[in-house]
Amino acid sequence: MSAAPEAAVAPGEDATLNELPLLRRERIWGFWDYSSVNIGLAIATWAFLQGGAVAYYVGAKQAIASIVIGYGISVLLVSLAPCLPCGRYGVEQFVSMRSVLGERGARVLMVVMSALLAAAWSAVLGIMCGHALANVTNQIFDTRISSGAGVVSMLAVMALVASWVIVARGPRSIELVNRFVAPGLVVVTIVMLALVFTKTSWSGLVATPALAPWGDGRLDFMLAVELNIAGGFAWWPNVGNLARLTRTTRSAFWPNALGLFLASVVAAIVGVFAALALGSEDPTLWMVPLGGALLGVIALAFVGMANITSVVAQSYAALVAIKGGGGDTVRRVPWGLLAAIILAPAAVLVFFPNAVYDNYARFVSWGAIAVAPLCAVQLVDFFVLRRQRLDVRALHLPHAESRYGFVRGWNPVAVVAVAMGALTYVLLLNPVTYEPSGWFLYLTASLPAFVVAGAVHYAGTRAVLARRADWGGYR
Amino acid sequence: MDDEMRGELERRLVLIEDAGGAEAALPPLPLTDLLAAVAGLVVLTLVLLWWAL
Repeated sequence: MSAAPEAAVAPGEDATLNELPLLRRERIWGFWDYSSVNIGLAIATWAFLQGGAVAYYVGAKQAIASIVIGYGISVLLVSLAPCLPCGRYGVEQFVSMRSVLGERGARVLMVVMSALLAAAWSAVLGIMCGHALANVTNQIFDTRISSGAGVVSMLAVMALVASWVIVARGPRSIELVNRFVAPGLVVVTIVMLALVFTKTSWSGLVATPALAPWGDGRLDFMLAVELNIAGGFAWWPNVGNLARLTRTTRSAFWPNALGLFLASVVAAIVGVFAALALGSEDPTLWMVPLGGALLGVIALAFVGMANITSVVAQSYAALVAIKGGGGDTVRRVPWGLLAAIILAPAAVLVFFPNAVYDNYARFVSWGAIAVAPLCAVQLVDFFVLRRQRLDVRALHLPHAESRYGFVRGWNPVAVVAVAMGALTYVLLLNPVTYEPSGWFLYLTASLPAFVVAGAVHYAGTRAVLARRADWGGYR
Repeated sequence: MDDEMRGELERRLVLIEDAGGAEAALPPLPLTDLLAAVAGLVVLTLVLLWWAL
């Protein structure tokens, strides 16, 4: 062992706020720290909304099965990639993707994923927070604020501003907030579950039909499974930069089973039960009928606040990514200002609350079209082709000097693989009409997209890229 | 990337590339952990399909 120079970040810099690879001593999260962040991220109103969407297609028993199976598959895959490459090497998620897509490919991906998806998800969460607070106001002051009212949009903007205040202070504030919010959300979920059973019995729930099924039992079940697989894949753009902050690879992997899987599953199942019991898929309409005025208002206010913590975690991951891949100009932008820029598109989207809120299932599906193939190429690349070894120096070199340079900073094989995966998804499940093709009944859409992308990336890399050492360092 | 940032990156890379050093990359996830997660998911899936369908 050689003598290690004193480790310290550069003056004025905190490496958790930029793309520099983290040293072990800078990793701030152990198993329970990451678990609490993870649970806080998972049990937002979107988990309840996921349950409400599943209740559209299937009843209670099939909903439980579809949620556990769907989330189980995709959360396991997401826990492998990007969590393990980022956790093992302490590298920023989109920097780690340079070994897969090339420097330029990863940068384009980073911009699309971070700027568009993060903004859109923040808008969804902000609107849900606005709905919750509007319902609180309706209950306390006997107002009649509708779900599409301008007041809802203003409340959503306030939620985004509150998120900005927290995220501008860095990851320690995320950890601090989640220490209180995550346990509180667990309590709210358990109380909701108990209250559902004051309204109905297990046999009553099982006998309650789905809210709006297609009518073909197998198709409805597979649509529910697909919705949940896609819901799990939706974590892909965020979790790598969170796992990067963990102290061990086990801490990067297993908390996902507690948070992204177990917490999401429990909250979604509670959501299904509430949706079936009350005949509504909107989580913000469940609390008062379930808990009465006082308890309902408290629960609504708390869930509204919980959405803010999810926006914060989402925004932090996007910020680190953009800092890492945005070049020198972006790197010089102060953290707080960049956080405001990231959240600004969401502040525009919240002024179209119904258009965003009513298309949740399609929204999740659009994300999976890209994310399932991306997860596949990263997983095959890291675990199969590179045997879990990354050259951290090469990740940070310009493409002309890096073994991960590929072809002018692009890996054409990975790009084709992702495109083939996305095409597979679209052929199996129309993302606009949500109409499935025949094979969807047996395969879902996300899993074939994953398999096709992974297989094309493996075969293409072996056949083309492995011939030359400067084409990605596979040789 | 400015000189200060480049210097900081270089210092970190030296520490991380020292395979025996205290700041080297973390060891891989033990294979048993992965197998346990996969096996648990397979069993859970089969039980739930039997129960729900």
